[in-house]
Amino acid sequence: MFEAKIDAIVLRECIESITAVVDEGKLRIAEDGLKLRAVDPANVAMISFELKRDAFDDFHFEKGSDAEAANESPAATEVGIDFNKLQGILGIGGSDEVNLKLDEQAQKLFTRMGSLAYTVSLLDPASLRKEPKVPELEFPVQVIIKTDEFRRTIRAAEKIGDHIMLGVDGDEFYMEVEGDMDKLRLGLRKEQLIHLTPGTLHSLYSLDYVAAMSKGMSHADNITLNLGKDYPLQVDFEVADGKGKVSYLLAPRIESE
Amino acid sequence: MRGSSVEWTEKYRPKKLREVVGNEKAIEELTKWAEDVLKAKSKKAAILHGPAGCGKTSAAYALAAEKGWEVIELNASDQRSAGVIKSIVGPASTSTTFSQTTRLIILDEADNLHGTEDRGGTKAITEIVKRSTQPIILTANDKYKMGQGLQRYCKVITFEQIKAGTVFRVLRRISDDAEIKIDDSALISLAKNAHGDLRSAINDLQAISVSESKLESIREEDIATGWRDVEGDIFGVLSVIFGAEGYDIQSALSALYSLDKTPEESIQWIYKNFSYEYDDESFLHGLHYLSRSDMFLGRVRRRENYKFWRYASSLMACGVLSAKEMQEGKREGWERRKQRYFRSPWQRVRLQEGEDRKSGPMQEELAKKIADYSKVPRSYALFFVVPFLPIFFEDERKAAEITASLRLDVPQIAFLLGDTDKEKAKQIYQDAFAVSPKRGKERVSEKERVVKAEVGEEERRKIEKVEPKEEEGKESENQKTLTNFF
Repeated sequence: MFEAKIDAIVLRECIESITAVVDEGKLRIAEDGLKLRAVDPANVAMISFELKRDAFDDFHFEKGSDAEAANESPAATEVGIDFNKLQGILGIGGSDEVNLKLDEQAQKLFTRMGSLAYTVSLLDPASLRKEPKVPELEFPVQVIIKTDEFRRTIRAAEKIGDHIMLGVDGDEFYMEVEGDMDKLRLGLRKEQLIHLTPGTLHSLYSLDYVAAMSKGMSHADNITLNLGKDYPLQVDFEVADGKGKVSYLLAPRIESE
Repeated sequence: MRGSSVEWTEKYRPKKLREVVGNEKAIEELTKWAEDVLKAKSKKAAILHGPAGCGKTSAAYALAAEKGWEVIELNASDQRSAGVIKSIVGPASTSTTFSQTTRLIILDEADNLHGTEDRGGTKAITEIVKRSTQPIILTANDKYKMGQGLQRYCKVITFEQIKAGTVFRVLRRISDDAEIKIDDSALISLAKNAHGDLRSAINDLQAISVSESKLESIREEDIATGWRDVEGDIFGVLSVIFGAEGYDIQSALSALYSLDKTPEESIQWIYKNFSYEYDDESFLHGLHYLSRSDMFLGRVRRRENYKFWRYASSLMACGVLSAKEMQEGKREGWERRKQRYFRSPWQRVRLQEGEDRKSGPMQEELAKKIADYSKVPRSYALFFVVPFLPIFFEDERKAAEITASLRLDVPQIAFLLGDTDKEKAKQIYQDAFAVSPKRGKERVSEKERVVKAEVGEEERRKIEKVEPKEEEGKESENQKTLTNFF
C-alpha cells in the first residue's frame, strides 16, 4: 500500500529530471522514499534518482501481504511507470498538490491534482530493461558550476556541433564544441567556479545526451561534474530543495581514426 | 520443470563460441573478425547470413559473452525506423559503456526492414556502420536484400543449414539434460523434420515434452502431433486438383487453400500444368472454368473486393477437377507427368541469362549517346534507334561518320558490328578520327542532321515499310519536318 501527497511543482521537477534520460523505468517505493535507476535504450546514459520521504507532505507506505514481492525485497515494491506520459498529464494539472495512490492489485497508480483525476496503468516491470549495475568509477576531477552557466553553453553548443568536449586544463574548466565550420569554447577560471580540482584531462561526449540532461537539471542551482580522461561523465545535483538526489552518468564518445 | 515457461532455445543457447554447433568455418571467420575489429581501419560490422535456426544470433551472443562485450540488441520486434536506429544505434556505436568495455550491437533480421514502420532503416544502418567505432553484427536470411552499399562496409560471413545428424546430437543432449525419456528414433524423426533449422527442432522437442505423458518414453509414433505445419507443395496440390487422388471436390478445394499462394498465382500454375493432363475435349471443358475463374480475379482487381477470390478458387479447383469426369474411363488411372514450372514474370526476368542480358548495358550506353546527341528521349533511342544501328554499320563509311558524331568507343563499335570483328571495329574508329578534324564544325552539324534523318528514316521504315536506303538529297528534304517532329 502506498499513498502520498506532494507539491505538484516538486513532482514535476523530479519527473523532468527522469525523462531527460529515459521514458520509462522501474520506480522502487520503500519506506524511506522513492528510488529509480535506469539506462536509456542505447545504454549510453544512466540515471540514478532518489527522493526522500521528507519531500512529501504526506507519505504512507506499507508492505503488502504479497508473498512473492516480500521474498525479493522485504520493504519495497517496484512499479513500472511511463514517465513521459505522466509528465504530459502533470503539465495540465496545474500547481496544486498531487495525491498519489497505488493499487498493486489492479496495477494502477491513481493521481489526483485538484479536480483532475488521472489513472496511470503501470507497465509490467519484466518488460522493462533490467536495472543496470552501477559501475565502480573513480573520478580524478570534480567541478561545481552554476547550472545556468552550464545550460547556456550547451544551448549555444547545440547550434554548432554534435559532440562536446569537457575538460580541465590546470586551473581552468573548459567546454569545447567544434562543428564543421565553427568552434565554441567556454573557459572558466577557478575563481569563477564554485569548486574545481586542478588537473589536465578531457573527454568527449555526445551533445544530444548532454543537452537532454541539461533540461533535466534546470531546477537545480548548482551541478557537480565528475570528469576523467576519456571516461564517463557523472553529473550530480539536488532536486526538491535538497530532499532528492539525481545523478546522471554518460558514456564517453570514441572517435574513429 | 516441464511446465517452466523458459524457452529451451533460450535456456540452451550456447554460451561459448565453440558450443555453437555446425558452421565451424563461419565461426572461425567470426573469431578472426572479432580479433581485428578493434584495430584501426578494420571493418566494424559483420553480416552473418544463412537460413533460419542455424545459429547466427547464437554465435553473436556467444562471441559477446566470450569477449566480455556488452550487448545491445535491436530485433524485428522493435520499431526500426531511420529515426529509432539513428537515436539508439547511433550513439551506441560511438560510445563506450560505463564500465569502459566494448559494446557489441546486434541487429537481428537486418534484411527484414520494410514497411512504413522501418522506412529508411537500411540507409540509416549504412550511415552508422560507416562511422561506427564499436563492433556491429547484422544477421540476415537473405544477404541480397541488404543492398550492395551496406555489404561493402561489412565482413560477410555465410552460415549454412545444420545437418540432421548434428541436430540429433543437440536434441539428445538437451533431452538428457531436461530428463526427458525419448527414443532415438523419435529424435531422428524430429531432426529430419526440422530441415536444418535447429531452433524449430528444439521448439518441437519442448512442445512434445510438455504434451506427452511423463511415465513412458516418447516413441516415434507419439510425435505425430509434433509435425510442423508444412506449407502445401504445389505439385501435390496440382495432382489432387487433376484428380489423382480420386474425384473429391472438397479435398481439391482445401488442398488449394493450403497453398501459400494467391489465387492469381495458383491459376497460372494450374493452367501451365493441366494442358498436359487431359485430352482436347476435357481440356476445353477445364479451360472454360479457368476462364470463368480468371474473370473473378479480374473483378477482384477492379473492385478491390477480395471476396471474389473465393469463387475464383472454387472454379479453378473444382472446375478443373470436373474435367476429369469427362475423360473418366478413357484413361487408365493417373500417371505423374513431368512437372511444368511456372515462374512469376519478375523471376523469369531475373533468371534470364545470355546475350540479351549481357548486351543490356551496352544498349543503354548507346541509347544515352544517341539521346544526348539527337536530343531525343533515351527510351525512344533505346527502342527505335539502337536496334537499327547495326544495319547502318554494314556500310563502313556511314559507320565511321556515326562513330565520329556519337563518339563511340571500340567496344561499342564492335558490339554494333556483331561482336566478332575487333580489327574492323578499330579500323572504323580510326577512320572516324580521320574524318572528324578534316570536316570541322560545319560538317558536324550536317552529320547531326544526317543522324537525325537516319533516326527518322528508320522510324518511317518501320511504319511505312519504305525501302531502307534513300538519297542524300531526299534526306535533307525530309529533314525539316523530321527535326520538327523531335
